[in-house]
Amino acid sequence: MKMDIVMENVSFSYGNKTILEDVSLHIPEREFLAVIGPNGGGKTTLLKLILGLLKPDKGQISILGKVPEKAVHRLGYVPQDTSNYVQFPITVMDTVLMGCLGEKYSISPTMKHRLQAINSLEKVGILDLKNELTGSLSQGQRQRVFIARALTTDPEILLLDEPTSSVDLDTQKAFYDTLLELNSRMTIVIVSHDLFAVTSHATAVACVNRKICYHSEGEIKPEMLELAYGTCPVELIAHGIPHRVLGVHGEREKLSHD
Amino acid sequence: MIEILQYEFMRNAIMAAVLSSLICGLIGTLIVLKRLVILAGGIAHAAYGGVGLAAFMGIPLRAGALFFSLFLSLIMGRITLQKKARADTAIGVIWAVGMATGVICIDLTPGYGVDLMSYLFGSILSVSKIDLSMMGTIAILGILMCFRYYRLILVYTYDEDFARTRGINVTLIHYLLIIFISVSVVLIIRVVGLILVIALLTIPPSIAEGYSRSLAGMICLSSVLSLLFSLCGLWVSYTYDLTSGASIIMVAAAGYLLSKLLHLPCQ
Ligand SMILES: Nc1ncnc2c1ncn2[C@@H]1O[C@H](COP(=O)(O)OP(=O)(O)OP(=O)(O)O)[C@@H](O)[C@H]1O
Ligand SMILES: [Mg+2]
Repeated sequence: MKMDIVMENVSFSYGNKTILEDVSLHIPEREFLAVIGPNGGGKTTLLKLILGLLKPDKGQISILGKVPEKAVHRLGYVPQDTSNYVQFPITVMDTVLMGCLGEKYSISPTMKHRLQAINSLEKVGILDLKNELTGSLSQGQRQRVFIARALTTDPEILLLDEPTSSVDLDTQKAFYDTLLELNSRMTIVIVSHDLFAVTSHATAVACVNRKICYHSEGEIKPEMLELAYGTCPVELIAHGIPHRVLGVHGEREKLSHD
Repeated sequence: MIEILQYEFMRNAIMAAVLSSLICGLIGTLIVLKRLVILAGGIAHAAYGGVGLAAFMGIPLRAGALFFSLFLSLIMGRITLQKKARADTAIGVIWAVGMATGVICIDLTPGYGVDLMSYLFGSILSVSKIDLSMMGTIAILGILMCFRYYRLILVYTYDEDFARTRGINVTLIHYLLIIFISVSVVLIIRVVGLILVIALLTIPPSIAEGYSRSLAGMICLSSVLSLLFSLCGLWVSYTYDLTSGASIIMVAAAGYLLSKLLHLPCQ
């Protein structure tokens, strides 16, 4: 199988604080990978390493068979935090048009680029907002703008960092359907805390908390929850994660019913 | 009003106002949006260090100011690019050291008095043809670059991380911008002074920000406002026989206040 993203024994630290330690990850073409993990576990850091925005201290990363810097323009990225983009005079349309810069960078975009942008706005259901100022939108609306911008880049790999954390339920459903459709053309890596939504679509799950626990079926294994949220997955199970998202867990299941 | 145009120094002053408004509208918008105002302030003060050093070493003052500012601005550019927390503090230190270098060098240069007041407020009424042609060159260069690379500049200004993921060399653009800011600021200081540069760089864009829907719109509006303030200020200065730089700043400040008052009900 062709591998889109390969990380071999990658370590990364901010100063002397180790964030990721000896992490290896192989993501094949057309995978729909869900990345879960606790706050501060290193999910955003992992995406930034893949994008080449951060350099690993140790280990190799190869994206589409190249070093990240050489492949980055074939990747789409939806950042996690969109609140620092509020104070800027720019309309939704112009924000989304950043996804298709073209070769000439001139002031007026071509008709083709406009259509591309309109198409993405339609996909996330905010075409009617296209002339609003991006900074004046609600957080969820703004998240959708950034999703549309990433779609406009027409990437081979789409990386999304908690793209739906402020998006309403109806839109989330439509959004995951869109992702599924896109998945037939591109590899998708999505960070999310919404275990249910993620596991009902993902073809693989990775849990990141300094280490990575990867499973190539769209299931959350008890080991992952252990890595992610401490030593007691039982409590989480009891807190209503649907059983069908969990794999076979024998002993633990019995415990959860106590 | 028309009769003041018969004086050549007045025509030159108006020309200087037009050119510095164009340059300040462009650069001011970028530094306000990129939160590099403190860097521009640092460059402007470093220029005085350069003037002092040049006087001390006996080289042309303009060249001294330019090279010293460029040197310090590249250091400050590096600090801002890394986005270390407290980048503004580090720049504050460089800013102060730049200025102190200038003062000490001038102390050490016997028989040399660079007039601090004219450096602070400039002398727009004694602008030379050479000053004007250099400002004209910078203005035209800036506008051409802006047309040619508009979307590139937009993406860089809006979202550096995204720009990087599009394969854009953000580091290069960042340093080019800083070099451009340095050269412009040093040039304009000669004409309108340090304090007026900072005022023209910050006041018009911060008014324009509230009324603009695009980067290009904000640049144009800032330039127009800047020109309006400069011309009104010149007129006030001529009519009431006041210092030109300070008059322009007072007019700009009045405009700023007015725009904030007008904006109050909508917020
Ligand atoms: N720029 C930075 N400088 C220093 N430390 C950082 C920086 N960015 C992140 N960190 C640290 O790295 C760790 C991992 O951060 P990261 O953003 O990757 O977590 P995350 O898994 O995305 O968390 P969340 O679920 O909150 O988004 C955190 O402990 C954070 O404190
Ligand atoms: Mg994160």
